[in-house]
Amino acid sequence: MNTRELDRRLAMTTGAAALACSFQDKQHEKHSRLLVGLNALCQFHYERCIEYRRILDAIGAGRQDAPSLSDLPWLPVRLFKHLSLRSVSQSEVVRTLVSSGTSGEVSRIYLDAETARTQTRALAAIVLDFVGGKRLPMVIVDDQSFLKDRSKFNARAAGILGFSSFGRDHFYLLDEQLRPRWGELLSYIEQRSGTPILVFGFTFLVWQTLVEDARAKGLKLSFPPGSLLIHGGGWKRLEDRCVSPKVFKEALMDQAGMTRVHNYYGMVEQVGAIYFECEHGHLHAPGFADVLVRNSRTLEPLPHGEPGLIQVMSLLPTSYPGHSLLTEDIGTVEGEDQCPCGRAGKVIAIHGRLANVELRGCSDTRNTTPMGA
Amino acid sequence: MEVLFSMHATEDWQQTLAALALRPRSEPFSADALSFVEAFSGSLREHQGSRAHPELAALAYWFRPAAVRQLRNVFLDRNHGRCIHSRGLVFHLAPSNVDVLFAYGWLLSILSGNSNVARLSQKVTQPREVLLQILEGMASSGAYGRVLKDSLLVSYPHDDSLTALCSRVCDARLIWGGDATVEHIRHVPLKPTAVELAFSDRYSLAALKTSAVLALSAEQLNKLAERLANDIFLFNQQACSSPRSIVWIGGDEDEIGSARTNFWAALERAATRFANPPHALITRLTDALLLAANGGLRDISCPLASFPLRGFGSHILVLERRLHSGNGFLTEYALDHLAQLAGHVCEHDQTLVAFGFTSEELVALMPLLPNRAVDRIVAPGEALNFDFVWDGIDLFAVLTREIRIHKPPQL
Repeated sequence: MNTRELDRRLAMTTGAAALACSFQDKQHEKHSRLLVGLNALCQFHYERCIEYRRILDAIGAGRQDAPSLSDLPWLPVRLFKHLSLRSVSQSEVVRTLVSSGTSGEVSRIYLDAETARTQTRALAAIVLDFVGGKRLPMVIVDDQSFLKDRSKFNARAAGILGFSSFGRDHFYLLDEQLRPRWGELLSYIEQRSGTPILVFGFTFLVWQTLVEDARAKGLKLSFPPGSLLIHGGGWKRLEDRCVSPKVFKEALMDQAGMTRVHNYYGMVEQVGAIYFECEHGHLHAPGFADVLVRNSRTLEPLPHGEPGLIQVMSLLPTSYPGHSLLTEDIGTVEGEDQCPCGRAGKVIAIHGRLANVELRGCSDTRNTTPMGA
Repeated sequence: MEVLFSMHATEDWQQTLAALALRPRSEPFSADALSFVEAFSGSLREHQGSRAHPELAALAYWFRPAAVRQLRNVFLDRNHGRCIHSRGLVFHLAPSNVDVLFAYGWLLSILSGNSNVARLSQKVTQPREVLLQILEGMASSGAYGRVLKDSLLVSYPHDDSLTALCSRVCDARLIWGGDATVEHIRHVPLKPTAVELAFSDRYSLAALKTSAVLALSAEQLNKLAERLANDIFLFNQQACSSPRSIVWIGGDEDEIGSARTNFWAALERAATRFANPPHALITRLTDALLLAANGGLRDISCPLASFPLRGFGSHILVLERRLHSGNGFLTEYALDHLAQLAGHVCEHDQTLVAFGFTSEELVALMPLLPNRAVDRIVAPGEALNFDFVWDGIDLFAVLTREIRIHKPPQL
């Protein structure tokens, strides 16, 4: 493919152009549109990221277009913890996203101005579709220490910053020791005199604060009717406490009068492409992104309904080769084009993380310093 | 500080430590020590934990009575006419994930006549519990008191002050467990007269003569694959001596091609009896792609879910030795002559599993090897067998000391 043709395909299908189509396309239409764009992105990154090219060459991919989304090459998401992967020069990087891993390893995701802008617009398009365009008073179940140091841009900070533009009069519920400021919250709610409030936070912090801590203090909150909660970040720590999504929702209804609760699935490696929960409890793939579920032992694609490793694909990443990633999350595709909410495309459910197995070697540490420039 | 095993009445472990440091020296391979080690390995062999944990079975086998007596004979032969004493108090630091490994040094130390203090990992593992159960059982039988009271087994969170207390009174320190651990513990001062032995991260590989693999019958090839599968997969390919690379020696492109096809088919069959959880799959795949991204591997043409996963490269990178985390991943290289292997190994490399070479060919390789590279050459199936000469060091040289008696001058 010549450069002009590649540029044309990229311009038509990826980045900002991808955002026009949110949830209208039926899965088969979406598939062909995504395939063109993702093939173009493979080519684009192949030519601009030497590490990506070496990987594709080694596994014999990237020479020609994939005939179907399931044939697209993908990278294990953990690779970003060990390797700096970018398809733009260092000077074009405007922001580096960092995900904090459980074992101290961090992913680094390099954004240029265009990718950062596209991600912001993508998130806005999704939230608009689910929540509407009205900016509500916003309570953030977190502390605001990250605002002081913007160089440390971890997933939590990126999430808060991304979502805070959908609300106004931001109130950070936690102090720097992550203790809830209940008194201030009560007067914040009171001052809004019945205006619905947008609450945002990380799933575990929301549970710990609005449910556990409020319960322990005998506090019943009553957010005004029409208020809603958006939460994401994973269920792992709640699973350890045997809290299911159902229990979570019921507790928030009971404890805080929160009738609308939206979970979302997303990751720092593909910011913008979030899988938002509709009123029927389904996580929807946006028009510019898609998922495949693969058998965790054979890596072959699985039919709908069978649980396996989630592969995420997104048309947004142009500054780093993160357009097709195999995650370590276990989930299922629950269906496509059939959600009663009317949104087309695939709906998914996330079940948790791939279980880690005990390491058995004679050395107790392995060096895992990030490599590459 | 948690005392896991002690025969001393006092609650104060420091008092026990002081007593162990002051205990009179004894003869290596005393009758008491021999009967203790034989009884210990006997109980271990019969313990049901040895069926679930091959590392326990291997430990029991290595210290079986016939082997221990053989060890004594070797020791006595080598030291005929010399005056060899125990070293004194030996401080063992066990690795965090394979407690059993420390037991080799500990039992050899008991045979050498030493008193011992061992720090076991904080992690409660079944093999660790089995070892402790057996000790408790022996203690309550009352028969091995004289040897048992010479061992203090403890566990504590990483705490340099406790490590320092033990290091100040011991006569030898044995560190098992990784470059970072070794480096860290070496900052903790040791009694000036004490000696130290540290087992750091090592890399191991296998060299196969292409023509010899091609000459095997199907049945022989399966036997070879079975043996190598044990070497490679037994501890999730994470023992220091588990081969992580296969080097094909000799043969043209076609010959190597057909040897590889046959070999990998056989090894995949042999690998099916080992655990291969999804997490291991993702880990080895990440390692392989990382190496490819850094230019270390140019061909990963097997299906990405293969167990084992393999990738062809041109030169073992230092990076590979650092990042390869086992889990069923083998890098492959091809060389025309065994002598060229000398240009590909370095001081990190411990075990070379060799197949298809004559002893003369292997001996001829020795003078070509770079400084400190390769500590042992073994046949397929023997990579994980412990040896009292480990990482190039005779453990008895550390666990005992020699008193040189010079003839008085004729005046």
